[in-house]
Amino acid sequence: MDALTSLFLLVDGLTNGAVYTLVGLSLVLVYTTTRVVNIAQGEFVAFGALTFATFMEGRLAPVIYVVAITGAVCLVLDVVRARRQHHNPWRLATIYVLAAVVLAVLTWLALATGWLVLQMVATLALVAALGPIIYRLTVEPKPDNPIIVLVIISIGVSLIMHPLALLLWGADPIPVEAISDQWFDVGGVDVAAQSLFIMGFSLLAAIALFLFFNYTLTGKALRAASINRSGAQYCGIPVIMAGRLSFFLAAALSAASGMLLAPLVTAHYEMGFVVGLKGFVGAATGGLVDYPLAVLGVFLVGIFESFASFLSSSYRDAVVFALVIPIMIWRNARAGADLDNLD
Amino acid sequence: MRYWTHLDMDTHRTGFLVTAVVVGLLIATLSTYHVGVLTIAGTNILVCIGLGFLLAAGQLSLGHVAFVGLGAYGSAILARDYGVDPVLAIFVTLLANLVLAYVIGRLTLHLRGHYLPLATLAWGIAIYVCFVAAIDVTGGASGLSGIPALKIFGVEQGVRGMSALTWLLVGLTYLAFCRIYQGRIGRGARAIKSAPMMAAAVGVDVARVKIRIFVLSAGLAALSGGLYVFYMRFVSPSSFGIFESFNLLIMVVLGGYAHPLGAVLGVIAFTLIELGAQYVFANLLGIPGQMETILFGFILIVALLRWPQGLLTWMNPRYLSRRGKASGSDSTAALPAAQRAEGDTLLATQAVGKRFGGLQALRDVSIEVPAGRITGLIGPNGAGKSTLFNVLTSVFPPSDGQVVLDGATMPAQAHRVIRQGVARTFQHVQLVRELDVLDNVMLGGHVTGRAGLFAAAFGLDRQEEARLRSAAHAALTQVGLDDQALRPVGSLPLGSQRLVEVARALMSGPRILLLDEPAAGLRGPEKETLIGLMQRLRDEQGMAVLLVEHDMDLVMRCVDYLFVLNYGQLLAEGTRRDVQQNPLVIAAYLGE
Repeated sequence: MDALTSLFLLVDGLTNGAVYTLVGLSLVLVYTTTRVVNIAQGEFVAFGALTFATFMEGRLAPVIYVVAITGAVCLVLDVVRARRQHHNPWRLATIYVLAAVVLAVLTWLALATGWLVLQMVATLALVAALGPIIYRLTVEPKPDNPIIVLVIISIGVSLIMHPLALLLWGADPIPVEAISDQWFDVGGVDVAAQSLFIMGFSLLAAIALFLFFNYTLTGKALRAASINRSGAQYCGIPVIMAGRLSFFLAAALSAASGMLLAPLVTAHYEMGFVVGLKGFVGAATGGLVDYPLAVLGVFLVGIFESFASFLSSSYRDAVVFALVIPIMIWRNARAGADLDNLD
Repeated sequence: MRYWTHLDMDTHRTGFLVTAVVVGLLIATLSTYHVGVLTIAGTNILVCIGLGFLLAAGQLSLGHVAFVGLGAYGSAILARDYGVDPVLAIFVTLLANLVLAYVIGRLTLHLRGHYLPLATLAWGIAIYVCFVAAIDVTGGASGLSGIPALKIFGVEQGVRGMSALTWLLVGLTYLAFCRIYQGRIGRGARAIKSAPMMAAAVGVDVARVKIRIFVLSAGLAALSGGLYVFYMRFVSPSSFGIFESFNLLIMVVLGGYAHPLGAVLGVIAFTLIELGAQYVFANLLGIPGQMETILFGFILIVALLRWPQGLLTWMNPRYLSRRGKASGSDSTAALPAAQRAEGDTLLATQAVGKRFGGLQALRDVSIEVPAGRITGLIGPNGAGKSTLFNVLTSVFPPSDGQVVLDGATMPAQAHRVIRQGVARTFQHVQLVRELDVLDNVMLGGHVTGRAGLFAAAFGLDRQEEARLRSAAHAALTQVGLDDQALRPVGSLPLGSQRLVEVARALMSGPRILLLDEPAAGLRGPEKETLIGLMQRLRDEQGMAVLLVEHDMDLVMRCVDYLFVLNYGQLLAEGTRRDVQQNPLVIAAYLGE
């Protein structure tokens, strides 16, 4: 393997890493605020890519029906709960109606104007809306479930979303145009503008998350909820809202990752699951709680993947997933904070 | 909770025999295709029983299909390419899987709960990719055919033979697990799931038990794979994808995992639903494949949110696992021969400090808990009493100073503390709600028993269990609750639950008994029982008792010596009278 090949593989690996970064960040975000190890996170990648692809074809993305139906179910459940607790259901209903109007207007604008930016925004909004809906339907009924039960529930969500994507978009991959098909020459290696877009966006997302968590009240509240749920509740931080918000943000990040990835691999209903799992391997480096280590981990996974696929394409995923073993050894060696402290 | 069916031991036995006969008849008479369905169900039950017990211990594996696959490929390749006898091949592969599972368990089970599902998921995918990629060894995606038949006494086993063999093993495994669930490790497993800290406090070596259960379940998976491959005589990677692991999980959750019967029910229900859904979706509605997966996704979520016990919700597993226990209490039996406290037994802290981040919970605390004395520890809320308790029992290490027992440093691991004769109760009651009162008390005898998984499986633990059971009745009699022995522990009032904890602590025959607010929620007569008990333990057995309590009336009636904590520091110590008259204590309690 000469230097040029290595450089090419490195760039390829960094692009992979940037895609996984968004998913890895979503996983850490969801786990820290809700304790859900979200196996279904990767499905949002596929939903994002497929929704974006249908918008680019100028068609109405079928995901809107899913959002409408499941959103309506949530509304009914919320109104019933509000009435039972003698709260005013109208305020709730207004929020739902507002959200529906925003989504409808965005979708209409995306279809009517055909502008790329609006299509992206509409995609993000629609897929991200699924996040809090899923949280409402599967986690909120029993937020104190043990971690392993929450994992199994997220598997159930994945089992529903996976075939649902097949049903909505069919089995054929949909090609997606790159935002720009320019190529740049970096040290003798051709680098697609799309790769740079992906890396740039991931970097921006990571910085935005960092600022959000450190400098906004909502962000600090989310962090508080992740450190001590009941403590946060006593301080007046609505833990339920924190959960919905983190699912919303995580779904948006993953959908963005799908939109950016789609031009490289075509949009396909099966594309998300494995991306999600690779995000997990990366995020496990940080124990699923540490953002910087998770980012480091996913880049490691990305680079490993690209070199492994050069050396033996058929064993690529085996090598990537076997990475979990050295990661576990390392976590054991660091121990301390990570050991099962029996609480 | 309302139960629709109450199965007792006799019904269970009859049910088992009837099922055995029915399965035997089905294997003999059904068409080969249906016998095949039955065989696959049998191999799935084998995996699910192990996976269910793992879940009963609060651990989740998402990669068990990898063990099934390794079992299948391993024994197929040994038999096909190396001419090893199939039975021996299954056995060798099984052993190899146990070793592998031990390594994975060792790496992940010392860590927090979410590592095992992640690690096994990744491991499952990696193995699957290897099955597809290692074409020279596994035949790649097209698989291996021409696998020799399994021979028993020289007779080649066809479809029906393999089915009978599989179900014979299912039956034996089922019986073994019925015993394991109600044995010493079974109780320990449930304790690990509900409260790991308590499990360690009664002497369960949490990490080790988790690893053993994981290894056992991997062994069953490998066995299942071996049976599968010699029934199919063909193997390809498609049977071992990650979604197959998810299917196994659905079966376990659908059936419930509070008893091995859940695995049987879950597999049968899953198979029926799958066949039915495929028929309805494909033939009647014309919807493409994979759609039954959506249905299973719904079933999984609804089951977990609404009926976490699965189908067992309607079988009441509590009544499935009574082994002649209702035969009445034998309250004449003695508690385990208490390790009689020597005169110089002494538990002490030497200048102990404990910091949590920036919070100094304890500072320079030195107390002594000698034999034959009831030592009180009082202080306002947040004074650090429970922290001191946890430091004393090695739940966490002190930041400064040390805990000393008989002149030697206290072992650093919580599960070793009780082996030194130090037993405790908890401020927030930690009982296993799925078990009844008697089982919860028997859990306290974990450290006095030796029986492991195999002893339980082969029924070698009968004597030990009988001894523990009568000791548990004796302990319950001591706290005045023997008439409640067979009630579900959650149905007792909180005060009685605290007394159950005291009985559990007595089961280990401690020299030193640490009681964390045992009287909270107790009614008058119950308090009398508690005081009487503490005095008896002190006078008759020379036990050292450390009592943390808010009920000043009770404290002043029974303690011999008092320590007062305030803001993590020792404020005063002395006899009751000294402390009652100490102006510092009065100020701390009543304000300046």
